Amino acid sequence: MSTSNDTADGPGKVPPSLNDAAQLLRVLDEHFAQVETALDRVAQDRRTLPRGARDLLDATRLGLKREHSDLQAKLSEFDGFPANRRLARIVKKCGDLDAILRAITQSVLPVLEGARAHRIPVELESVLLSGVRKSAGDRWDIAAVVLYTDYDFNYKIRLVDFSEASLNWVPSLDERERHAVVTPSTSASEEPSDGSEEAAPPPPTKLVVLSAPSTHRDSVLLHSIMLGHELGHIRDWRHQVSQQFAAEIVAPEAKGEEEVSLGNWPVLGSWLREFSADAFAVHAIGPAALFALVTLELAHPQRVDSTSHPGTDRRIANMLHVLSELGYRDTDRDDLDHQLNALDEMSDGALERSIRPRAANARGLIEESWELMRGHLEGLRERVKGCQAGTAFGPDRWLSEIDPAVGSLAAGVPFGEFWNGEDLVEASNRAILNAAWMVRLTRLPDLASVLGYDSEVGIDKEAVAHSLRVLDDLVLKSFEIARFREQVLEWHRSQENEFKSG
Amino acid sequence: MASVPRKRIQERLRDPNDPFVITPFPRDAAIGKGSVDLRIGTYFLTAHRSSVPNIDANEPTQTASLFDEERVQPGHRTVIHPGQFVLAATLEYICLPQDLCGIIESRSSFGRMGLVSATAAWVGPGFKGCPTLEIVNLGELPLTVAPYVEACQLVLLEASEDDKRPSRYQCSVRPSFARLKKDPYVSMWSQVPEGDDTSDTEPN
Repeated sequence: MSTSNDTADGPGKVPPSLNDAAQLLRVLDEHFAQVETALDRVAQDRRTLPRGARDLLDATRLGLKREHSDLQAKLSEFDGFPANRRLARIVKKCGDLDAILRAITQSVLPVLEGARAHRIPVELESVLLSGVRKSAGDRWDIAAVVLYTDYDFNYKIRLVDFSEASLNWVPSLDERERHAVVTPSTSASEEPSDGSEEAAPPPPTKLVVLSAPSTHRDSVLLHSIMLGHELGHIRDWRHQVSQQFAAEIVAPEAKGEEEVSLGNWPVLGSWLREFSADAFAVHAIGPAALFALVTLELAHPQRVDSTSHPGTDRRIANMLHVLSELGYRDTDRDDLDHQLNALDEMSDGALERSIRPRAANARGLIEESWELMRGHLEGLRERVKGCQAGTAFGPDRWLSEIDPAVGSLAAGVPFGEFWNGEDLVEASNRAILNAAWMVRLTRLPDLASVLGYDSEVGIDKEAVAHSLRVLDDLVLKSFEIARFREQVLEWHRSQENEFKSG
Repeated sequence: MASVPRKRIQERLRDPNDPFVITPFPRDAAIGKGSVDLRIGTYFLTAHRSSVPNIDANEPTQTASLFDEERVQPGHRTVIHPGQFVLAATLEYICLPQDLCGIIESRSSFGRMGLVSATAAWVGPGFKGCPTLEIVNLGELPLTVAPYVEACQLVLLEASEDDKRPSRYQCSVRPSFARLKKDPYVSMWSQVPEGDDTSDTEPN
């Protein structure tokens, strides 16, 4: 191959090609500088970021600087290599860092943008953090909880392995959930006991990223879905319920294989995860979990099944079973019975009907999985119930906690604290949520009348919209007051005591 | 109109059947003679300079575009520069029954630094919500303000009011812009017909 060595730079000079190591590094440096600038812009408004997002921003900036320094160090090691090998190594290293830069651009920056304090219901952050920690138990060390809004009309949760020391978690923010490989005889919730006296390793560190639709930023009653269903996924992952259950269901189909790959039954795994998260949600926050799902999906085709989610009618039917098994159908409360009876009608026959696939070519896949699991839903609910024993928000607590809250919210007063004898105590988040749902469903005219609308005449669209906005605000205020009483005043008292004793 | 004695304020606030409510419940030291200290909340609306030449008092809703919403998290602060006008709301949610009304006053310790936290400070009988504070820094230096600081006080007075019409700002939990658009008389005054040419005010 003959090549002319005469170029515009002069005779004998070889022009740089796009396959040149120097060119690669130049491009990478440019990408790096632009991503770094974008992160710096976010950092300039750092104080508008809630705590979880600030942690994410700091870890990203620090990690990126470190990766870049590591690359520079590696490059000087490669100097002694032959040209081809050097180029190959540089291409690999640049590719690795470039993948991280892309992942930061595609997933971290949108999260940080959507996490600014004016984009999220900030009062919900502490509620979520508390909910996440309770859901995760001691299985994981939750490094940060990041709440953000985006333009997807959906709620999402991502739970990623988080290490500030490396940026491996960045690609995970984009990663689709993989199908687990499970050995059916293993119970993930049992700790291995070999009599060893060595200290248990620290729990893995996780980053929890939750998203809500940005158009519904202040629709806190709809955010019950986050507090219920999305955190229900954490409880499911923690207890390995749907994963184990799925493996048990398909084990007879595995024909003696030691390990069962749920990847062969993607719909089964997905649907069981959703049913499980719904069941955990009802255990955690009671009827509010169901009311929120129904309201979010009301205008959406309900009796349509996708490969990732069962039709909403099936989910409603399953959640109604959970409520019934918890005792909510035996409360003699007309207002609650009326709502649950209506949902019974809405989901009548849902667990028996045939598949209506969103994508026609998925019919076979969905039917196959549904046939396997349809007789096992009760078993799944029992498994969830076993994990939640003693902590469920059952009808006894519902009845004792929500009535004063309903009265307060319907009268236009937030319910963040109440007198328990001589003491003021903070209201529980789930009592606040459930009370707000009962006001929304049964006492909205009372709230409208507080706002000056004549409820005897009948409240119109404007009155309903105004009342719902006010109800959401009252719930947020209730959360703020509860947090203030539980955390801020406690801190203030400890400061005062320190001051007095000092 | 008499102010409400301290002991009476405490008794009424502790009575669960009394429609007079302040939540979060104020600490003892915050209840004074005829008044209750209130804290600044976490929402601030800060006016920014723009290319809008003026605000037409007949179109007060245009003010929304001239303010930036800032949510200052507990433990952080916001800065109010000299001459800057900021809307905030109290942390406390107040419910006044028909027999009580109130006036919001700056606390003198903040006033002495130039921070005036109340104009139009009347809280009428039957009001429910977090009163909006209209804050101006009249001092020469920027002031940093943190949420939950007790920057103002609600002076309580006895009233006897039968009219139960709710406030225009009923049940607000964050600072509100003017809602004068709902007042038909505001726009009416801009349409007053011009007077007669032979008015007495013409110079000789």
